Amino acid sequence: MTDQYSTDKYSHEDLVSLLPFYLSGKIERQDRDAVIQWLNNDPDASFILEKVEAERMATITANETLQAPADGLKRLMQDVASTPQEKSFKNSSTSVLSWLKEKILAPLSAAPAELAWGACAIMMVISLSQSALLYQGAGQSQSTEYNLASGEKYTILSTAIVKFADNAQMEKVAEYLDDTGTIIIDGPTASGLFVLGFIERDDLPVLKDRQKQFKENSNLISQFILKTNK
Amino acid sequence: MNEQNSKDRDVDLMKRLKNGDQSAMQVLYARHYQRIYRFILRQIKDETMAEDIVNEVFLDCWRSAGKFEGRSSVTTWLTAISYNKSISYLRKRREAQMGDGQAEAMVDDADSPQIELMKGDKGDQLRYAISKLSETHAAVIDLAYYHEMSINEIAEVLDVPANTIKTRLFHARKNLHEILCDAGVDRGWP
Repeated sequence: MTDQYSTDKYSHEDLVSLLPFYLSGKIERQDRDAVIQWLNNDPDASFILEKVEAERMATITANETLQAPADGLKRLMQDVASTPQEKSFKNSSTSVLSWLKEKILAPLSAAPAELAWGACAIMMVISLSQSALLYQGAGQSQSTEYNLASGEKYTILSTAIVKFADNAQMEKVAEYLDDTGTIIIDGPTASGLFVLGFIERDDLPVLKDRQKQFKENSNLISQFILKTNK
Repeated sequence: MNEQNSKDRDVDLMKRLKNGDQSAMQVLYARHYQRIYRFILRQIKDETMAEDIVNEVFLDCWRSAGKFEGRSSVTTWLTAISYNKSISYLRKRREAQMGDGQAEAMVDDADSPQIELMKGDKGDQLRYAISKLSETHAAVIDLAYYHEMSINEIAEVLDVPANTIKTRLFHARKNLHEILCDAGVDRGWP
Protein backbone atom coordinates (compact mmCIF):
# COMPACT_ATOMS: atom_id res chain seq x y z
CA MET A 1 0.00 0.00 0.00
CA THR A 2 2.85 2.33 0.76
CA ASP A 3 4.08 2.12 -2.78
CA GLN A 4 0.66 2.87 -4.16
CA TYR A 5 0.65 6.35 -2.58
CA SER A 6 4.33 7.18 -2.55
CA THR A 7 4.02 8.41 -6.12
CA ASP A 8 1.38 10.87 -4.94
CA LYS A 9 3.62 12.19 -2.18
CA TYR A 10 1.46 10.49 0.46
CA SER A 11 2.71 7.43 2.29
CA HIS A 12 0.23 5.10 3.91
CA GLU A 13 1.37 6.48 7.26
CA ASP A 14 0.64 10.02 6.06
CA LEU A 15 -2.87 9.11 4.99
CA VAL A 16 -3.65 7.31 8.26
CA SER A 17 -2.35 10.31 10.21
CA LEU A 18 -4.57 12.66 8.23
CA LEU A 19 -7.79 10.84 9.15
CA PRO A 20 -8.39 12.67 12.45
CA PHE A 21 -8.13 15.97 10.58
CA TYR A 22 -10.35 14.67 7.81
CA LEU A 23 -13.02 13.88 10.41
CA SER A 24 -12.76 17.29 12.08
CA GLY A 25 -12.64 19.15 8.78
CA LYS A 26 -9.39 20.86 9.85
CA ILE A 27 -7.45 19.70 6.85
CA GLU A 28 -5.84 21.31 3.84
CA ARG A 29 -7.75 20.84 0.63
CA GLN A 30 -4.95 18.89 -1.03
CA ASP A 31 -4.69 16.54 1.94
CA ARG A 32 -8.45 16.09 2.05
CA ASP A 33 -8.54 15.17 -1.63
CA ALA A 34 -5.80 12.60 -1.08
CA VAL A 35 -7.72 11.07 1.82
CA ILE A 36 -10.93 10.92 -0.23
CA GLN A 37 -9.09 9.27 -3.08
CA TRP A 38 -7.61 6.74 -0.67
CA LEU A 39 -11.01 6.03 0.93
CA ASN A 40 -12.50 5.46 -2.51
CA ASN A 41 -9.75 3.16 -3.72
CA ASP A 42 -8.68 1.14 -0.71
CA PRO A 43 -11.30 -1.06 1.07
CA ASP A 44 -9.12 -1.17 4.19
CA ALA A 45 -9.20 2.59 4.49
CA SER A 46 -12.84 2.64 5.60
CA PHE A 47 -12.09 0.21 8.43
CA ILE A 48 -9.24 2.40 9.60
CA LEU A 49 -11.52 5.44 9.41
CA GLU A 50 -14.04 3.65 11.65
CA LYS A 51 -11.33 3.00 14.22
CA VAL A 52 -10.19 6.60 14.13
CA GLU A 53 -13.80 7.74 14.59
CA ALA A 54 -14.13 5.43 17.62
CA GLU A 55 -10.95 6.92 19.11
CA ARG A 56 -12.27 10.38 18.44
CA MET A 57 -15.55 9.66 20.22
CA ALA A 58 -13.74 8.09 23.16
CA THR A 59 -11.49 11.15 23.46
CA ILE A 60 -14.44 13.53 23.30
CA THR A 61 -16.35 11.58 25.95
CA ALA A 62 -13.29 11.39 28.19
CA ASN A 63 -12.94 15.19 28.01
CA GLU A 64 -16.61 16.03 28.36
CA THR A 65 -16.90 14.13 31.62
CA LEU A 66 -14.38 16.49 33.25
CA GLN A 67 -16.05 19.52 34.82
CA ALA A 68 -14.01 22.51 35.89
CA PRO A 69 -14.85 23.96 39.31
CA ALA A 70 -17.18 26.93 39.15
CA ASP A 71 -15.36 29.17 41.63
CA GLY A 72 -12.23 29.71 39.57
CA LEU A 73 -13.32 33.06 38.18
CA LYS A 74 -13.62 34.75 41.57
CA ARG A 75 -10.09 33.75 42.48
CA LEU A 76 -8.76 34.81 39.09
CA MET A 77 -10.35 38.25 39.27
CA GLN A 78 -8.88 38.82 42.72
CA ASP A 79 -5.47 37.98 41.30
CA VAL A 80 -6.06 40.14 38.23
CA ALA A 81 -6.95 43.12 40.41
CA SER A 82 -3.57 42.91 42.14
CA THR A 83 -1.48 42.06 39.07
CA PRO A 84 -0.08 44.85 36.88
CA GLN A 85 0.08 44.29 33.15
CA GLU A 86 3.50 44.06 31.56
CA LYS A 87 4.65 46.94 29.44
CA SER A 88 5.32 46.17 25.83
CA PHE A 89 5.47 48.17 22.70
CA LYS A 90 2.00 47.02 21.76
CA ASN A 91 0.73 48.70 24.85
CA SER A 92 1.65 51.99 23.28
CA SER A 93 -1.69 51.90 21.48
CA THR A 94 -3.11 52.17 24.94
CA SER A 95 -0.73 55.02 25.61
CA VAL A 96 -1.80 56.87 22.50
CA LEU A 97 -5.45 56.28 23.12
CA SER A 98 -5.13 57.18 26.76
CA TRP A 99 -3.26 60.27 25.77
CA LEU A 100 -6.01 61.26 23.41
CA LYS A 101 -8.75 60.55 25.87
CA GLU A 102 -7.27 61.54 29.17
CA LYS A 103 -4.85 64.36 28.44
CA ILE A 104 -6.93 66.07 25.83
CA LEU A 105 -10.54 65.08 25.96
CA ALA A 106 -11.11 64.19 29.57
CA PRO A 107 -10.43 67.67 30.96
CA LEU A 108 -13.06 69.09 28.67
CA SER A 109 -15.74 66.48 29.17
CA ALA A 110 -16.20 62.82 28.58
CA ALA A 111 -16.00 62.27 24.86
CA PRO A 112 -16.97 58.96 23.32
CA ALA A 113 -14.28 57.01 21.53
CA GLU A 114 -16.47 57.02 18.44
CA LEU A 115 -16.31 60.77 18.24
CA ALA A 116 -15.07 61.73 14.82
CA TRP A 117 -11.60 63.19 14.65
CA GLY A 118 -12.66 66.36 12.98
CA ALA A 119 -15.40 66.99 15.46
CA CYS A 120 -13.03 67.06 18.37
CA ALA A 121 -10.14 68.78 16.65
CA ILE A 122 -10.96 72.18 18.08
CA MET A 123 -11.21 70.84 21.57
CA MET A 124 -7.87 69.14 21.12
CA VAL A 125 -6.13 72.32 20.01
CA ILE A 126 -7.49 74.28 22.94
CA SER A 127 -6.69 71.55 25.37
CA LEU A 128 -3.21 70.82 24.12
CA SER A 129 -2.07 74.31 24.87
CA GLN A 130 -3.02 73.67 28.48
CA SER A 131 -1.34 70.28 28.66
CA ALA A 132 2.03 69.64 30.14
CA LEU A 133 4.85 68.84 27.75
CA LEU A 134 4.11 65.32 26.56
CA TYR A 135 7.33 64.47 24.87
CA GLN A 136 10.82 65.34 25.86
CA GLY A 137 14.06 65.16 23.95
CA ALA A 138 13.50 67.12 20.83
CA GLY A 139 15.67 67.06 17.72
CA GLN A 140 14.92 65.89 14.25
CA SER A 141 18.06 64.08 13.32
CA GLN A 142 17.83 60.55 12.04
CA SER A 143 17.33 57.80 14.63
CA THR A 144 16.52 60.21 17.40
CA GLU A 145 15.63 58.69 20.70
CA TYR A 146 12.43 59.99 22.22
CA ASN A 147 11.45 59.67 25.82
CA LEU A 148 7.74 59.66 26.45
CA ALA A 149 6.45 61.33 29.55
CA SER A 150 5.52 57.85 30.73
CA GLY A 151 9.18 56.85 30.67
CA GLU A 152 9.03 54.69 27.54
CA LYS A 153 11.86 55.20 25.06
CA TYR A 154 11.59 54.90 21.30
CA THR A 155 14.04 55.37 18.47
CA ILE A 156 12.53 57.50 15.72
CA LEU A 157 13.66 56.52 12.24
CA SER A 158 11.88 59.34 10.44
CA THR A 159 9.09 61.82 10.95
CA ALA A 160 6.10 62.95 8.91
CA ILE A 161 3.53 65.71 9.10
CA VAL A 162 0.02 64.40 8.74
CA LYS A 163 -3.53 65.54 8.96
CA PHE A 164 -6.11 62.96 9.84
CA ALA A 165 -9.30 62.70 7.81
CA ASP A 166 -12.17 64.65 9.31
CA ASN A 167 -14.26 61.53 9.68
CA ALA A 168 -11.44 59.41 11.12
CA GLN A 169 -12.33 57.94 14.47
CA MET A 170 -10.02 58.09 17.43
CA GLU A 171 -10.13 54.37 18.11
CA LYS A 172 -9.19 53.64 14.51
CA VAL A 173 -6.42 56.23 14.49
CA ALA A 174 -4.89 54.93 17.71
CA GLU A 175 -5.06 51.37 16.45
CA TYR A 176 -3.52 52.34 13.13
CA LEU A 177 -0.67 54.21 14.77
CA ASP A 178 0.10 51.14 16.77
CA ASP A 179 -0.08 48.79 13.79
CA THR A 180 2.24 50.96 11.73
CA GLY A 181 4.69 51.64 14.54
CA THR A 182 4.15 55.38 14.72
CA ILE A 183 3.71 57.74 17.62
CA ILE A 184 2.53 61.33 17.86
CA ILE A 185 5.47 63.53 18.75
CA ASP A 186 3.94 66.94 18.23
CA GLY A 187 0.70 68.69 17.42
CA PRO A 188 -1.91 69.39 16.60
CA THR A 189 -1.38 72.79 15.08
CA ALA A 190 -4.30 75.16 14.68
CA SER A 191 -4.92 73.65 11.28
CA GLY A 192 -4.94 70.12 12.70
CA LEU A 193 -1.50 68.95 11.63
CA PHE A 194 0.43 66.40 13.67
CA VAL A 195 4.07 65.38 13.63
CA LEU A 196 4.36 61.60 13.70
CA GLY A 197 7.46 59.54 14.28
CA PHE A 198 8.09 56.15 12.71
CA ILE A 199 9.74 54.17 15.43
CA GLU A 200 12.21 51.33 15.20
CA ARG A 201 10.40 48.01 15.49
CA ASP A 202 11.67 44.61 14.38
CA ASP A 203 8.32 43.06 13.59
CA LEU A 204 7.34 45.60 10.91
CA PRO A 205 8.25 45.95 7.22
CA VAL A 206 11.09 48.22 6.18
CA LEU A 207 10.61 51.93 6.80
CA LYS A 208 9.99 52.80 3.17
CA ASP A 209 7.08 50.34 2.96
CA ARG A 210 5.62 51.57 6.20
CA GLN A 211 5.72 55.16 5.02
CA LYS A 212 4.10 54.18 1.74
CA GLN A 213 1.38 52.24 3.54
CA PHE A 214 0.71 55.23 5.77
CA LYS A 215 0.60 57.68 2.90
CA GLU A 216 -1.89 55.58 0.97
CA ASN A 217 -4.39 55.16 3.80
CA SER A 218 -6.90 57.73 2.58
CA ASN A 219 -9.51 56.49 5.04
CA LEU A 220 -7.59 57.91 7.96
CA ILE A 221 -5.05 60.29 6.50
CA SER A 222 -5.96 63.36 4.47
CA GLN A 223 -2.47 64.88 4.20
CA PHE A 224 0.94 63.29 4.47
CA ILE A 225 4.25 65.09 4.12
CA LEU A 226 7.35 63.04 4.75
CA LYS A 227 10.05 64.79 6.74
CA THR A 228 13.05 62.74 5.75
CA ASN A 229 15.95 63.72 7.90
CA LYS A 230 19.25 64.06 6.07
CA MET B 1 -21.53 31.81 16.40
CA ASN B 2 -19.35 30.41 13.62
CA GLU B 3 -15.63 29.81 14.02
CA GLN B 4 -14.50 33.05 12.41
CA ASN B 5 -16.93 35.11 14.49
CA SER B 6 -15.68 33.37 17.57
CA LYS B 7 -12.06 34.17 16.67
CA ASP B 8 -12.96 37.80 15.98
CA ARG B 9 -14.70 38.00 19.33
CA ASP B 10 -11.57 36.68 21.04
CA VAL B 11 -9.41 39.25 19.26
CA ASP B 12 -11.75 42.02 20.42
CA LEU B 13 -11.48 40.74 23.96
CA MET B 14 -7.68 40.75 23.74
CA LYS B 15 -7.74 44.36 22.60
CA ARG B 16 -9.86 45.24 25.61
CA LEU B 17 -7.47 43.33 27.85
CA LYS B 18 -4.56 45.35 26.49
CA ASN B 19 -6.43 48.44 27.60
CA GLY B 20 -6.72 47.04 31.11
CA ASP B 21 -10.40 46.12 30.86
CA GLN B 22 -10.94 43.52 33.58
CA SER B 23 -14.46 42.72 32.44
CA ALA B 24 -12.96 41.41 29.19
CA MET B 25 -10.98 38.96 31.31
CA GLN B 26 -14.21 37.62 32.75
CA VAL B 27 -15.67 37.03 29.30
CA LEU B 28 -12.49 35.46 27.95
CA TYR B 29 -12.34 33.17 30.96
CA ALA B 30 -15.95 32.12 30.55
CA ARG B 31 -15.32 31.30 26.90
CA HIS B 32 -12.19 29.19 27.40
CA TYR B 33 -11.75 27.96 30.97
CA GLN B 34 -13.60 24.67 30.60
CA ARG B 35 -11.60 23.64 27.55
CA ILE B 36 -8.30 24.79 29.10
CA TYR B 37 -9.06 23.05 32.39
CA ARG B 38 -9.76 19.78 30.60
CA PHE B 39 -6.59 20.00 28.54
CA ILE B 40 -4.44 20.66 31.60
CA LEU B 41 -6.13 18.05 33.77
CA ARG B 42 -5.71 15.40 31.06
CA GLN B 43 -2.03 16.24 31.01
CA ILE B 44 -1.21 16.38 34.69
CA LYS B 45 -4.00 14.21 36.17
CA ASP B 46 -4.27 16.30 39.34
CA GLU B 47 -7.46 18.31 39.85
CA THR B 48 -6.15 20.73 42.44
CA MET B 49 -3.03 21.52 40.48
CA ALA B 50 -5.07 21.81 37.28
CA GLU B 51 -7.15 24.57 38.92
CA ASP B 52 -3.98 26.38 39.94
CA ILE B 53 -2.48 26.12 36.47
CA VAL B 54 -5.69 27.34 34.82
CA ASN B 55 -5.51 30.39 37.08
CA GLU B 56 -1.87 30.91 36.11
CA VAL B 57 -2.70 30.62 32.41
CA PHE B 58 -5.35 33.33 32.53
CA LEU B 59 -3.26 35.50 34.82
CA ASP B 60 -0.41 35.23 32.29
CA CYS B 61 -2.89 36.17 29.61
CA TRP B 62 -3.85 39.28 31.58
CA ARG B 63 -0.28 40.18 32.43
CA SER B 64 1.07 39.81 28.90
CA ALA B 65 -1.98 40.76 26.85
CA GLY B 66 0.10 43.49 25.27
CA LYS B 67 2.39 40.91 23.74
CA PHE B 68 -0.41 39.11 21.92
CA GLU B 69 0.01 40.09 18.29
CA GLY B 70 -2.69 37.94 16.74
CA ARG B 71 -0.29 35.79 14.75
CA SER B 72 -2.09 32.75 16.10
CA SER B 73 -5.64 32.50 17.39
CA VAL B 74 -6.37 33.24 21.03
CA THR B 75 -7.39 29.60 21.45
CA THR B 76 -4.04 28.37 20.13
CA TRP B 77 -2.16 30.94 22.21
CA LEU B 78 -3.94 29.98 25.45
CA THR B 79 -3.52 26.28 24.73
CA ALA B 80 0.19 26.74 24.10
CA ILE B 81 0.59 28.55 27.43
CA SER B 82 -1.37 25.73 29.09
CA TYR B 83 0.80 23.06 27.51
CA ASN B 84 4.04 24.74 28.53
CA LYS B 85 2.86 25.18 32.11
CA SER B 86 1.66 21.59 32.30
CA ILE B 87 4.93 20.21 30.98
CA SER B 88 6.88 22.45 33.33
CA TYR B 89 4.79 21.25 36.28
CA LEU B 90 5.20 17.58 35.30
CA ARG B 91 8.95 18.01 35.02
CA LYS B 92 9.15 19.56 38.49
CA ARG B 93 6.90 16.87 39.93
CA ARG B 94 9.10 14.13 38.51
CA GLU B 95 12.24 15.77 39.82
CA ALA B 96 10.68 16.19 43.26
CA GLN B 97 9.54 12.57 43.31
CA MET B 98 12.96 11.36 42.27
CA GLY B 99 14.60 13.61 44.84
CA ASP B 100 12.35 12.28 47.59
CA GLY B 101 13.05 8.72 46.55
CA GLN B 102 9.39 8.27 45.67
CA ALA B 103 10.00 6.56 42.36
CA GLU B 104 8.39 3.42 43.67
CA ALA B 105 5.28 5.37 44.56
CA MET B 106 4.82 6.16 40.89
CA VAL B 107 3.90 2.57 40.14
CA ASP B 108 0.29 2.49 39.06
CA ASP B 109 -1.72 0.91 41.81
CA ALA B 110 -4.94 0.70 39.81
CA ASP B 111 -6.36 -2.57 38.58
CA SER B 112 -4.27 -4.32 35.97
CA PRO B 113 -5.05 -3.24 32.40
CA GLN B 114 -6.64 -6.56 31.58
CA ILE B 115 -9.08 -6.35 34.48
CA GLU B 116 -9.96 -2.72 33.71
CA LEU B 117 -10.56 -3.43 30.06
CA MET B 118 -12.67 -6.47 30.69
CA LYS B 119 -15.02 -4.30 32.74
CA GLY B 120 -16.16 -2.02 29.97
CA ASP B 121 -17.40 -1.79 26.41
CA LYS B 122 -15.24 -0.69 23.48
CA GLY B 123 -15.59 2.97 24.41
CA ASP B 124 -14.44 2.27 27.95
CA GLN B 125 -11.56 0.23 26.64
CA LEU B 126 -10.43 3.06 24.39
CA ARG B 127 -10.82 5.69 27.10
CA TYR B 128 -8.78 3.58 29.44
CA ALA B 129 -6.04 3.09 26.86
CA ILE B 130 -6.00 6.81 26.02
CA SER B 131 -5.59 7.59 29.72
CA LYS B 132 -2.47 5.42 29.72
CA LEU B 133 -0.72 7.34 26.93
CA SER B 134 2.35 9.42 27.71
CA GLU B 135 1.65 13.15 28.05
CA THR B 136 3.29 13.78 24.68
CA HIS B 137 0.99 11.34 22.92
CA ALA B 138 -2.02 12.31 25.02
CA ALA B 139 -1.55 15.95 24.05
CA VAL B 140 -1.54 15.31 20.33
CA ILE B 141 -4.53 12.95 20.60
CA ASP B 142 -6.54 15.49 22.63
CA LEU B 143 -5.64 18.42 20.39
CA ALA B 144 -6.56 16.55 17.21
CA TYR B 145 -9.65 14.66 18.38
CA TYR B 146 -11.23 16.83 21.08
CA HIS B 147 -9.93 20.35 20.44
CA GLU B 148 -10.21 19.78 16.69
CA MET B 149 -7.09 21.72 15.88
CA SER B 150 -5.39 21.57 12.52
CA ILE B 151 -1.90 20.18 12.06
CA ASN B 152 -0.44 23.68 11.97
CA GLU B 153 -2.32 24.76 15.09
CA ILE B 154 -1.09 21.72 17.00
CA ALA B 155 2.43 22.43 15.76
CA GLU B 156 2.14 25.94 17.22
CA VAL B 157 0.88 24.66 20.56
CA LEU B 158 3.56 22.00 20.90
CA ASP B 159 6.21 24.18 19.23
CA VAL B 160 7.35 21.48 16.82
CA PRO B 161 7.35 21.32 13.01
CA ALA B 162 4.07 20.39 11.31
CA ASN B 163 5.53 17.18 9.90
CA THR B 164 6.34 16.05 13.42
CA ILE B 165 2.66 16.26 14.32
CA LYS B 166 1.68 13.66 11.74
CA THR B 167 4.46 11.33 12.90
CA ARG B 168 3.62 11.91 16.54
CA LEU B 169 -0.06 11.23 15.95
CA PHE B 170 0.76 8.07 14.06
CA HIS B 171 2.89 6.80 16.95
CA ALA B 172 0.32 7.87 19.53
CA ARG B 173 -2.25 5.72 17.77
CA LYS B 174 0.23 2.88 17.49
CA ASN B 175 0.94 3.14 21.22
CA LEU B 176 -2.81 3.07 21.83
CA HIS B 177 -3.00 -0.13 19.82
CA GLU B 178 -0.16 -1.68 21.83
CA ILE B 179 -1.73 -0.76 25.16
CA LEU B 180 -4.93 -2.47 24.05
CA CYS B 181 -3.04 -5.49 22.75
CA ASP B 182 -1.17 -5.83 26.03
CA ALA B 183 -4.54 -5.93 27.72
CA GLY B 184 -5.81 -8.60 25.36
CA VAL B 185 -7.82 -6.35 23.03
CA ASP B 186 -6.64 -6.49 19.43
CA ARG B 187 -8.43 -4.04 17.14
CA GLY B 188 -5.94 -4.57 14.38
CA TRP B 189 -3.43 -2.05 13.13
CA PRO B 190 -3.52 0.65 11.89
